[in-house]
Amino acid sequence: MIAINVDIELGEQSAMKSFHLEWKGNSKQFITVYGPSGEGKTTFLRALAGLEKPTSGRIEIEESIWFDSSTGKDIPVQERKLGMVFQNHRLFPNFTVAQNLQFAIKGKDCPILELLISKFELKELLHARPNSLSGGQTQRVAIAQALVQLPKLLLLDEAFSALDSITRNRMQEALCFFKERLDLTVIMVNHDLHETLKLSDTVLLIEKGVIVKSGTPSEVFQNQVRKGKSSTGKLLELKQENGYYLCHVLIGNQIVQLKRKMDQSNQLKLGDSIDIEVS
Amino acid sequence: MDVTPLLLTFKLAAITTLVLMLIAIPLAYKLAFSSSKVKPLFEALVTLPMVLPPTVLGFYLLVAFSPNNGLGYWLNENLGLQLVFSFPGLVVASVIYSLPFMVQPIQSGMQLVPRSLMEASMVLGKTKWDTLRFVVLPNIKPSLLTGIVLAFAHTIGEFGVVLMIGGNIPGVTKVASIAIYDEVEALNYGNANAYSLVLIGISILILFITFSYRNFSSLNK
Repeated sequence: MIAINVDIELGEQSAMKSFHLEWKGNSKQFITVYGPSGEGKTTFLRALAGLEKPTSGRIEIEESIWFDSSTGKDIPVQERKLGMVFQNHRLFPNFTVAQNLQFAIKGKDCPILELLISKFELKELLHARPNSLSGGQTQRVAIAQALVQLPKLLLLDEAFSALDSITRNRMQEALCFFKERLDLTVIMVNHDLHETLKLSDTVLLIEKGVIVKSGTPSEVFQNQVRKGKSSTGKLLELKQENGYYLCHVLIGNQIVQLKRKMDQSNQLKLGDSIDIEVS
Repeated sequence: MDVTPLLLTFKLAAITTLVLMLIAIPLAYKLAFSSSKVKPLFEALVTLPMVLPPTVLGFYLLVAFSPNNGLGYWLNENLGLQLVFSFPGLVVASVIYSLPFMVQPIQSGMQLVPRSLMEASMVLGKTKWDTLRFVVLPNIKPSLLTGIVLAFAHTIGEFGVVLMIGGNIPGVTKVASIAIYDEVEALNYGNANAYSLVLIGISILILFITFSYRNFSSLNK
């Protein structure tokens, strides 16, 4: 079980200064944190990791209390036994890829090291220095580095953002493989709707520093547009399918999926406003 | 030319640099990443020897270390340590005097290490000590070298503080800079010139090695 109920105040330099993050749900699942940029998704991960200290509240992960302002308990980040991949993650530049993985191993060796190297396709990169890697290669090493310490909780902040779509699919499979193998709870900040729908057991929708909605992807993104009511939304995704366009449109907190004829959609681009009326 | 003052100078510079490394690295680490409101006060205190006339610093150290006063009396009575006009006194004074020359480059280097690297290390379960040892220090080698070289070179060139706290005792506190002053006073310009040339040669050699290393490091980044 994961239970988080915290208030966080950030410094003057932050665009958003106060956050109230409250959610309770099952662990051992794939949780996606979804929402607009700069509204608290990364802060949510940092609070869980212990990198951002809440002003008040409580964080409980699988019957272990990590933070409780009422008792003054605050488990240091080093003792939370989690893996984390940061947005724009940096590997340690003084180490090779192999040394980066080795540095993360707790104890003498890691029983899944070879498997990680194989699944994340790192064999050719082992002797490379981080500054010679592409963004996508860095992200693959970073995920393997987070997993090599055998965590129970894996926090990913847009960890696939630099990957091309083919590699991204393979890495999603690898991640799901290790989630099952290690009995992991994965919490991932993501902007990609397809990936969110594909991977998530639970979605947390964050807006203006508050978790406004949570549930299965279909519960969170269900179409609540009522018959006879017209609404305007923003086009999030546009995909060509069998002679029509499949559009994902954000209306309020809901994502609506609709089909449009080709000739109606040729001029559309992402971010455009679309009027919808359900008859 | 008596080489004893030169040997004493290099012995003093080497010991001062080693002691400073033990003090300056943790101090720079603390100053680089502290967000305490009293941090500027500590930074000012550490930097003070850089702007104070050496004789002022030397005078107050002389007063503090004097066996007739509080600290000097306590050291003498409890540890049998007399710092005035002794080699250990020169080491203590040199450490204080050269402290900012080692702390500042190391602190600046540490502040350039991305915060995310240190956070990544902590998330991997590494202690602050491990993070300093395996992540911070290996990534600030040029700054570390600059700090070490500056402290060493600055100690070689000390005069005012050394004269005030150590006086001019041959084989004990008479370092090369004092010897040069002595030789000039005695109109032995040849000897003064010989000491000076050795100091210039050593200084150029140290700085040449430092800059060569820094250029090599930046080319290989």
